[in-house]
Amino acid sequence: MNDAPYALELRKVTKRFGDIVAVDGIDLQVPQGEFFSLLGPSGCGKTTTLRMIAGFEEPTEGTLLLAGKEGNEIPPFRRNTNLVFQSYALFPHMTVFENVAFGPRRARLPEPEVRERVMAALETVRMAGLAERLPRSLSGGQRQRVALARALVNRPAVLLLDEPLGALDLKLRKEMQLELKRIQREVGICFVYVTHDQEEAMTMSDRLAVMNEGRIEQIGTPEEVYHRPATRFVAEFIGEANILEATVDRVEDGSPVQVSIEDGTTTTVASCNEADCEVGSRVLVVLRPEHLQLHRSRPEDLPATEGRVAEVIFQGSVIRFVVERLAGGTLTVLDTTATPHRAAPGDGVWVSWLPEWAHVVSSSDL
Amino acid sequence: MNGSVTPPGIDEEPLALETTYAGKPRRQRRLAPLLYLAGPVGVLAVFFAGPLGILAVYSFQERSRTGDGSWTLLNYMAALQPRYVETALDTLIIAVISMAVLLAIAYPLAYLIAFKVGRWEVPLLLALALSDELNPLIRIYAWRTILGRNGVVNTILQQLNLIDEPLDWLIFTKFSVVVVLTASWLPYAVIPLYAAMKTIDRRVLEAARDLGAGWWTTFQKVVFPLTAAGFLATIVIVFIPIISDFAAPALVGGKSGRMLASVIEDLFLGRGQWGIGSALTFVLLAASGFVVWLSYKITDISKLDTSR
Repeated sequence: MNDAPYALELRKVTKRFGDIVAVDGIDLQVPQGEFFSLLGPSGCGKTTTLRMIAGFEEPTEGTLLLAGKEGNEIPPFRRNTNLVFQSYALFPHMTVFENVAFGPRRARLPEPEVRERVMAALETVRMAGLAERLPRSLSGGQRQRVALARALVNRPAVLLLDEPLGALDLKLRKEMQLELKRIQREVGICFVYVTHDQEEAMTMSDRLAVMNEGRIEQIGTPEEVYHRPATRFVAEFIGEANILEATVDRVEDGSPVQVSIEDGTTTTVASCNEADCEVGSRVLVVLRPEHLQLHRSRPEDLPATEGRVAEVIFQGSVIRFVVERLAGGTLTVLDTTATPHRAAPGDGVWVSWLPEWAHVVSSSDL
Repeated sequence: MNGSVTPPGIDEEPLALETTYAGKPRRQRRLAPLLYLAGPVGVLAVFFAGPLGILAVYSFQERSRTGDGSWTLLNYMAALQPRYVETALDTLIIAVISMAVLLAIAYPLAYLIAFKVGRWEVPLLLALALSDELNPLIRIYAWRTILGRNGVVNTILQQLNLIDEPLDWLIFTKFSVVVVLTASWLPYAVIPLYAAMKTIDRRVLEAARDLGAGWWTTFQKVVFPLTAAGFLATIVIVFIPIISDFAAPALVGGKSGRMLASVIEDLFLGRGQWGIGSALTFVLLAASGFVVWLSYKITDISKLDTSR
């Protein structure tokens, strides 16, 4: 990082509503021009965090910095941030043009410049042709674009988006994800995007923060968060995870490098988020379904565990196998349909994994 | 009585209407809506248009105690006498001021109840509704004990040594009429305004703030345009009863706070001059009609439809 201040920084920010702690001492830094997502289940505090950044809520404790300046108490109408609301919140009595012009007019820009900027913003979201329409005559996707233009036109330092695609159908949502990413690259401003949809967050974000119960569980790039989840919660929230309980066999530089799972199989592990663990301590091994493989008999050179196929589910591009382990619990295995398959429900199988993808998290959290 | 004998017109529930409707002959189909309207129209005809018609006839007849019932325009000429014209002007002034004060109080109050008071929203609405349950006469007498020469306000002001003599303009003036009318009609103004405010999505107000609008701009550009229909409805609902109120001017108006309706009441019940009373009634009706027409005229109704 260079010396330029972060577009947005939160230091130990806490928000309480009465006795309820909505956001519990979170820290984060978002540099200029980054697409950053706050990801988590509903009630995890992500929307409250966003509303604090927008200025609709004031942090109970901690400091919020906008472009390096303390901004806890700046009211929303004086902040260089703009929010795209989940419900769009367009002004129902104004045309598309008037909606988008609302911000620039409040900034008292000369009217020709307002017009120019509004049309440019509508151009960016491909809505210039509908400038004179009222919001009620637009489709959900179109309203969404107008809401985006209405925020973008102010050229905020940080653009905040509160699950803006939540109300759209799947196909449109996928289109808009790519569209949002394109727009973000074009305008080059920092986006902070709130969503509960991990796929959405993975598709668009440069980095993301996974939140749970008011705390940030992990911040990282989509790859980091997927391949090296910090906690069991992250492992299970982002994508699918098979979790095996294990005991540490060997430790190097404070990190376990070899563990044995309950049925006695030993495996080396590639990465670990459990610092300071000792030989003999309990950990969890995270294995992604696409890193597992089925075998008729015990493979020679790979760690494997024995089980019985319970279900085979054809899903188009992939086939999902649910395997009941003899040692208890189930494993999910994903394989492409290009591989010839012979396993059927009831078959005894061995499930192997590639040690270079095996990842360990602490067993202390749930 | 067995169940099959039911009065015509109410034997079908609206739901059943949908299904049997289309099967009926065309003529019957066209007449059915008229039949459904017959009830309310009949009530209006008998209890509203009827009396009004009788008054219209009276207003063109010689109908004082000594009158003989012949046709005349004298009543309308009498209604144009300076004392009635003055009363009419006073009525208009009092009604307009009351309306303005009422809106100035009701509009912010409706906004607060709709958006700012949180869990007090329902209790406050109930309190407003309850305040209207009080008998109007008792309420007006209560105001007399508050505003009277030895009333609550004067006593307090004197005890605080803010005034030496009791204020004599507190009661039996236009002031007291405005106070009583405003207080009496407050619930009727707040509730439609509240209803209009409630249809505004709270996020829309936040969006305005987010886009750089302070509270005044938000009010001007967003809240007011979105509640203009309710605002108009409130004027129509409240202005007519205010301009035609007779109890408040009669009980707290004194000489300077007279209003047309109390004069009409006096002409009918006190002096038996039904002809002039009827003529003035139509003057008052025309005035309120004008206000309603004007409010529709100055506000483009079609633009006010904020429903989706």
